[in-house]
Amino acid sequence: EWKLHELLCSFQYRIFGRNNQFSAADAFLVCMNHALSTEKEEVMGLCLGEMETDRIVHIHSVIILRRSDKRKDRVEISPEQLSAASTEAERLADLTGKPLLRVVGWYHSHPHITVWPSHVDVRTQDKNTKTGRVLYTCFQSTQAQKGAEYERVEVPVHVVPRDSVGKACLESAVELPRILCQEEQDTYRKIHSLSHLDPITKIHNGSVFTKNLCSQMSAVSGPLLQWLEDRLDQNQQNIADLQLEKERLQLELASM
Amino acid sequence: MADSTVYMPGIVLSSVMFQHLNTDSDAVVDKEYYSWLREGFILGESKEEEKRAITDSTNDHVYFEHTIHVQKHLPCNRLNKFYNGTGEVDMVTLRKMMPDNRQDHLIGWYRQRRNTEQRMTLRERLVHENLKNAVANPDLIFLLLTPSEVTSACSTHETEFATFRSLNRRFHKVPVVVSNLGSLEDVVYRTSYAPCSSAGYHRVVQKHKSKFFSPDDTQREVMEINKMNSSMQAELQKECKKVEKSEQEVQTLLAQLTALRKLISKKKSLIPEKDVLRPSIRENLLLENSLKSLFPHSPLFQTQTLTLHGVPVAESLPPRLTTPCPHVDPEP
Repeated sequence: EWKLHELLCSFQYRIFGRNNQFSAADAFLVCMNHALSTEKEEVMGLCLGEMETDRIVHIHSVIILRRSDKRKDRVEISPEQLSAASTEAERLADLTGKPLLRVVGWYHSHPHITVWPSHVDVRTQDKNTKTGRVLYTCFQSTQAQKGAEYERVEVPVHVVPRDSVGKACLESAVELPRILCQEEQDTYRKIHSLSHLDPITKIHNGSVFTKNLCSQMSAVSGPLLQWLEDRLDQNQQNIADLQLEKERLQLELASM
Repeated sequence: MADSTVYMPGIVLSSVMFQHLNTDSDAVVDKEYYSWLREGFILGESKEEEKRAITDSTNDHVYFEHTIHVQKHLPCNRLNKFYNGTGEVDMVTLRKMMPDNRQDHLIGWYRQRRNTEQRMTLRERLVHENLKNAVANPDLIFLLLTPSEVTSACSTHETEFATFRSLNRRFHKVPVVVSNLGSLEDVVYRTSYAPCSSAGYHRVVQKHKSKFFSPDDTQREVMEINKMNSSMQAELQKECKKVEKSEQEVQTLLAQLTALRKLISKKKSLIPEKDVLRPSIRENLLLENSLKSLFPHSPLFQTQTLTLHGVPVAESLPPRLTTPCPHVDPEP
């Protein structure tokens, strides 16, 4: 029986006024890879960028977050995570020479249409089409006045081409397997510290840990490593081609 | 035909979408450099397994499960395109685009088309059939991605994707599953157990316990898998650094090429027109002489006066044009 895979991401930005949101393509790549890493739970992260004017926000990179509360229909960011994200933003500001870089929003995924903003027509697909679909949408929550209900306002989002994958995005991308491993190790540690368990149960739990780590390696780390190796090959080929083109242009310039 | 499913890692789908976003925009500076990223090849492995199941009607139901595992994608090289306008595949170009025997792992090709339907065009069908025959892979797949905007405010975008395969020249969709952690079977940690009071049970456990546990009660298997995972993380970091360096190198070269092209263009604009070498007009005197001797009186090879409509003006017309007059019988 085939499976229709639908993953939805939503970028949420909490400010007032109508904005345009621009996301760099490499930040989009990291975010999409994070969202597609699991269909059984919602993932989330923070967006780092700059506010260009009152109405334009640029997202340069994302920070993948661990979810402390994995219940459906709720996502929480702890103060410690926000503080760590601000520190990271400062570090990236120095690295990239963009002093105004800061946390400008957050993203999360909605696998299998858990809860979706009502303004977006999800158009439940006929299962016979066998077509996969990925959506991403951007909105902000505003209150008309204090105490009133929050309303969702659509925010136009554009993915800006970036012909390279930046250092910040590369580092975020390889952070995902590390975070997954950390989550699993923390869970296993708590389980293993239960002293009342018998050896068979402990062996079982050890196998669960091994199995889960193997799943992470085969579903996430392995394909990511493959992608990095391919990207390196591609860049090296491009470098060779560009070197030839450079020599040709230099010859042409010299002959003029 | 066995039931087929295509499994694709999330990073591959994300990467294909990322490369499309870098090509299909007016904001792309060097469109020529990136125009080739809209299509490419899919590499991976195809497996068919015989499975047996017990059902209510039969206790030996044999069926075949065909899985296609996508491992990576290979964008088409900028200088080469592996097919022509009529969909014929150029195998020489294809082999150049896939060095190191990657052709053995060619399981399909892909294309991205913005704001179009999830249907193969005629040319895509032709290319697919030709490619399928050229690489002798009857299970070759075609992955079609069609991004579009869902809302007029550009706040919501979607990308649909599907894989197609042909059988007897008819194309069918093959389901695609994006491999992820959630699709794997759930196995949970246990926090309690059902105690067993059997003496024999405890004897067996004690006998084999040391193979699983170290003296400090840590589990050997857990330690080993942790070590393997740490090595995997180190490998990722190492590759990440290499890719980062290569990205910077590509960017530096692109900037240098842009500067060189600007300089060349500027120099060309400063050169006065008379100094610009014009290509000399070469005359084929032998051909000219042959035509003159073969067709000495042909008006096509002679200088002529033409009207505004391109009609030759006859040189021998009298000053007054004769007008047609009614027929008059001659006098007897």
